[in-house]
This record gives sequence, C-alpha cells and structure tokens, in this order.
Amino acid sequence: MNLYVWSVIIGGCIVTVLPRVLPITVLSKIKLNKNVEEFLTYIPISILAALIAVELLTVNNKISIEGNSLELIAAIPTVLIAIKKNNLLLTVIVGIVSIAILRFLF
Amino acid sequence: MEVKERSQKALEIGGKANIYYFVQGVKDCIPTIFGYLSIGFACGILSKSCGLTFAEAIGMSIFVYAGSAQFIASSMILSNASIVNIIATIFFVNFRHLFMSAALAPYFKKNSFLKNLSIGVLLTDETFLVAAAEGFNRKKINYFWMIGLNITAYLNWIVATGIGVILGSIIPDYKVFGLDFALTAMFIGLLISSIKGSLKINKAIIIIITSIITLILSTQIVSTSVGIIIAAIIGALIGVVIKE
Repeated sequence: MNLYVWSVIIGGCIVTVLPRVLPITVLSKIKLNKNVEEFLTYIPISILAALIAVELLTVNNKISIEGNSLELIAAIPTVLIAIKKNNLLLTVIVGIVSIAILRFLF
Repeated sequence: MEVKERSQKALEIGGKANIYYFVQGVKDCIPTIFGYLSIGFACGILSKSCGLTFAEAIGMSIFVYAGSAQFIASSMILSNASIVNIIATIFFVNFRHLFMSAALAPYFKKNSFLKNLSIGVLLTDETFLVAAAEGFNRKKINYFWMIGLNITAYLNWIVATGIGVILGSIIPDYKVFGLDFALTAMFIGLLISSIKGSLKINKAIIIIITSIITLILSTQIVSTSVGIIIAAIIGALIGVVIKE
C-alpha cells in the first residue's frame, strides 16, 4: 500500500466532491434571482466552449496552434458530422478515426 | 382494506414509474458511453505508464472520478510532486463542477438534502450536459432519471479505466489510436446539440466566442483550469447582458 498515492486519492476525493455537492444541496433551497437563474442556463455552453478551446488551442497550459495542428484539422469533420447528424456516438467515432488517420499520415 | 389496497397500488405504480425513469436515464447515458470508454481506456493506460498499480488506478476512478484531473494527477505522481500540490491542482481542474452543480440546482428545489447529495456526488461533465439538455427540453429533471444517468456513467468510467490499466501493459502510448481525441469530439458533439436544442443561435455564438477569447486571454496569466472557470463566468455573463 503506497501511502503517498492513497493520500492523493483521498484528498482528491474530498476536493472534487465539495464543488459537486455544495451548490446543488444549498442553492436548491434558496430562491434565486431571475438574472442568476438566466446566468446559470448559459453555463453549459460557456463551459463547453472553454473546454473545447483548451483541448484544441493549448499544450501544457500555453496557447499553441502548431502543437494542435492535427487536432484542429480533425475537428473540422467532427464539427460537420455533429451539425449534420446530431449523433454523439457517431461524432466521437468520426473524431477518433480522423485523428488516427492524420497521426498515421503525418 | 380498500384504502390500503389502493395505496399499495399507488406505491406499485410509483415504483414502476421510478424504475421507468431510472432505465430512461441509463438509456440517455448511452450516447456518451463510447466517448467515456475511450477516455477511460486512455486514463487507465496513462495511469499504468505513470507507475500506478491496478488498485490505485481503479481507486482514483472510484474516489476522484474526474477524467482530466486524473490524467494530471497521474503524471504529477510520476514526477513525485508534493501531495498538497497535487490535491490543489485536482481542486482547480475540477472546480468548474461548482457551476455545473449550481446550474442544476433550480431543477431539484423540491428534493430532500440527501437526494440532492446523491445527485451531486456523481456529477460530471457529461452527465451534467445531458441533464442540462433534459432540463431545458422538459423544464424538469426526474430524480430517478438522474440517478440512472449518473450511475451508468460512473460504472462505465470505472470499468473503462480498469480495462485501460490492463491494456497499458500492451499499449504503451494511448495517443496511438487517437483515444485522447474522444473527449474533444464528445465536447464538440455536446456543444452542437446544446446549441441546436436550446438558445437562439446568434446568442449562442456570441457566448461561445466570448468564452473562447476569454480563455485565450486568461491563459496568458493563469493556468488553463483557472482559465476555464473565468471563461465560463464571462461567457455566461455576456449571455445575461445581451438581448435576444
């Protein structure tokens, strides 16, 4: 039993559970302001856009287009299939196949 | 007697409805399974290559249950970073769940504390996004539906990491098969379906562009995990400020 690794796991458990649990248990009991509720409805797309930007535009915390050139190209068919079919599974498969082909070629 | 029978019947119907919603939640999780499976494989392979044992890798998936945070934690363990440093990093990487949990809160006003606790504990990017879409379309989210969704994603993640660790002895680099891109592709798919399903397209595009620009600017100063939080807030604020 590696104490170092398990300390990280237990500590990691505590710090990931708190942000997940606190708002839904506390905020659900409070009457929220209309603007706050509207703000919260925009959170999903806003977070998603940021997450995608991190995946496609950064390498090791730094903005890098070159470091992501293949990923950016693979994103094109992925976006197109998502718009056309709106099928999550198919989108993921097209994405994986595109990047695998690109990495194989270049 | 009659009353008793009737309440018994109501209970049965209630029980059946709960099972129905639970199964529906499981079904609604299915589209995300393949993507999460790929990332889970990748996470398991990476954990293995960072020197984690099977039990440690699975333990991390069970207790931390956070894709990107696990990737980063594993490589920090490999480089022998301090425990406090790793835990602080996990905290920042996963802090975005605070906003996801807050965004779902209005749908669960009538639930007890314990019920909401059971929803929040297993909240993750994918289940949040599927739930947010459900909430937007139906104006409410059933508790048992949410539990079905959450548990399916959770078990899928644990099993996928386990398989990944085993595969890790055969495949040294998870990038070979493009598994790491599954996450990006899934986010793209979820973003496009949430634009289609909800807002006015112009407004959605403004929010997205604002969020991306904010992220690019903030990563000049802070780490990307803090950048995500800033970008999410500014993007959503713009959504409130601008008119349809």
